[in-house]
Amino acid sequence: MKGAAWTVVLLVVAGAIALEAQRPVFRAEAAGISITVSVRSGGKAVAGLTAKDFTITDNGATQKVSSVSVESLPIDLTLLLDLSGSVNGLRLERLKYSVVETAKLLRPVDRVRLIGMQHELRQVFGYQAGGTRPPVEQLTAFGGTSLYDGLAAAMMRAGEPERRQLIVAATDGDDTLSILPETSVKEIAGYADAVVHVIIPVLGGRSAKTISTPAATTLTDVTQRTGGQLFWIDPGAPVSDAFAQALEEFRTSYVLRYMPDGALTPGWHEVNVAVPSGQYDVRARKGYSIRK
Amino acid sequence: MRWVAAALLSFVATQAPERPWVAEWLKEFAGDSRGAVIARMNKIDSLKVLEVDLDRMSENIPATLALPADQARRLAAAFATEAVFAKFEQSQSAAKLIEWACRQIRRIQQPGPYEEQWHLAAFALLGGTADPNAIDAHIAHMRLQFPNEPRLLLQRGIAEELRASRFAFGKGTVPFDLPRRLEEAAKRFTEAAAVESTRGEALLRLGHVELSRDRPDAALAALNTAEPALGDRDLVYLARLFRGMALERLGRVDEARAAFESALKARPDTQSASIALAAVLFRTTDRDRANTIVNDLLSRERQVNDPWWVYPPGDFRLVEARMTSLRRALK
Repeated sequence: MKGAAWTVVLLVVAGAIALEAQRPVFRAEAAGISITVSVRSGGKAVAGLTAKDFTITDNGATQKVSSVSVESLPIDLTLLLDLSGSVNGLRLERLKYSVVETAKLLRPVDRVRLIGMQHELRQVFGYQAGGTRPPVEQLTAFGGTSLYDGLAAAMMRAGEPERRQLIVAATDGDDTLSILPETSVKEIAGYADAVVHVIIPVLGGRSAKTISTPAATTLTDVTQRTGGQLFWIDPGAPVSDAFAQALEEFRTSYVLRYMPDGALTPGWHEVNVAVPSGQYDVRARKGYSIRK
Repeated sequence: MRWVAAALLSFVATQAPERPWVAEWLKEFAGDSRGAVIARMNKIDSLKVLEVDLDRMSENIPATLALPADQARRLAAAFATEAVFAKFEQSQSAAKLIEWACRQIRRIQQPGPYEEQWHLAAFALLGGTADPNAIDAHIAHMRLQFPNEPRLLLQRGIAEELRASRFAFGKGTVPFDLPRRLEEAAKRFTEAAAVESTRGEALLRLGHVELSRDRPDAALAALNTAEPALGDRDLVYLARLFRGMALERLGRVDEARAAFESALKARPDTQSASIALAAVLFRTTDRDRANTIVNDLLSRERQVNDPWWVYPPGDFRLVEARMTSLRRALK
């Protein structure tokens, strides 16, 4: 988001941080459910909300929010870049620049790694501390795109305890060579710990939000399931702005915790989070899956 | 006006090439320096140049090479084919150059083993252009000289499946008639499965088409009978991979996992089966093992060649072997 001055207010429920520090941002466990929730108004983060401001339903049943926090835990950012032949040239140079600029936005306790998506998937560099210059010089672009396979691979990697997981993918939205069908990637998103954002350059940028190709529909579903979103940006706009927006939004999101009433039944749990006290743009993962 | 156009075309077609090196390279290729010319093909910036200049020379090939007509045309076709092999990523010009070479081959009165090898090499190269229309056109051309070639039936299915593949339609949209195309591809592969020499590959491809049609039962039926008819390790890998996908969609998760593991025995460390195996583990029983598989996969400097990457473009996977056979047949 360009030029947005987001206010961050840490709302720390005593003990909640310590509890959160023992597990990833999202994982359905016996200990309860944690959901990352972004609350915005006019493009700016809404600060100062407490548990009583939120309503949450799990498969239609109203839940009691046990704690709300704005997390100060370190962030592990996975950048997932489409490095197929279609981005060669100027777009590749922009991507390199954006990776370097994004690393600058991270705190030293945060980390960033980069996975390249061509027909083959490869970790270009592993986690490195925020604020250091990532080795992007060797990035090259060629071949096809295994977009869905890349997203699935990134979502299947386990996060470390005491760290929050964010995945931001930049792609032209076309998948040419994935083995996984769309349904599998959507399903994996339901189990993933990370919040996933996807950035797609398209003529018209944000005003082109109505684009509804099958790939866009799939990517919208995948991101929404994790509490992320699809960013449409103008092809000429810096990708680093979208990276920065995704990162800032993640940082300023609330983490709601609740213990579902009754047993955690296997299957998909639809979750709805609302903030009835205001006209806010509330975004949270659409649900989670419990294995049979 | 038509005769004016024809005269103009004829005039253009008999012009000398704009770039003298094209004729010089062709003469060298026809002489004693074939290997040296092949080694130089990578330096061609644009196949379009070759396409235009060879087209201009079409009628003068025998005279240019001072060879009997059939021999000259074989050599000229081989020359163009080598250029495409070196630069097949320039797909539009590549397809046109193959068609130019095909015109030389079609003019040979008594086609023999060389012409047959050439047509098969052409299918492999046209697969690399990912142009199903060019494959269809070439099927018609080969049929003129080799009506009984068993792979023609298989090629018809490959072209139709390619039309229905993300690999070919690429950007943004799905063809409006996707179901019809998939149905047509299934029909063509079913026909090809009746031919003994193409039975295994036809069943493998039929299985994949049925998966695309969301008919995992039909896919499994085809794939269960495909493997015994397959001798190629890459195709065995694909059959096991697709079988795992069909089983997974049928909810037979343990069997799916076993099928993916068996695919990885045929081709260890391959990306597509690794991802498919990790995905089924992640969603069902073993998140930790899925994590290990994905971490191992991503940490490799380069992935091993994956037969899945060259599945959509059909015979392209055979291009090296076909070019080797073609060179041998030209000697």
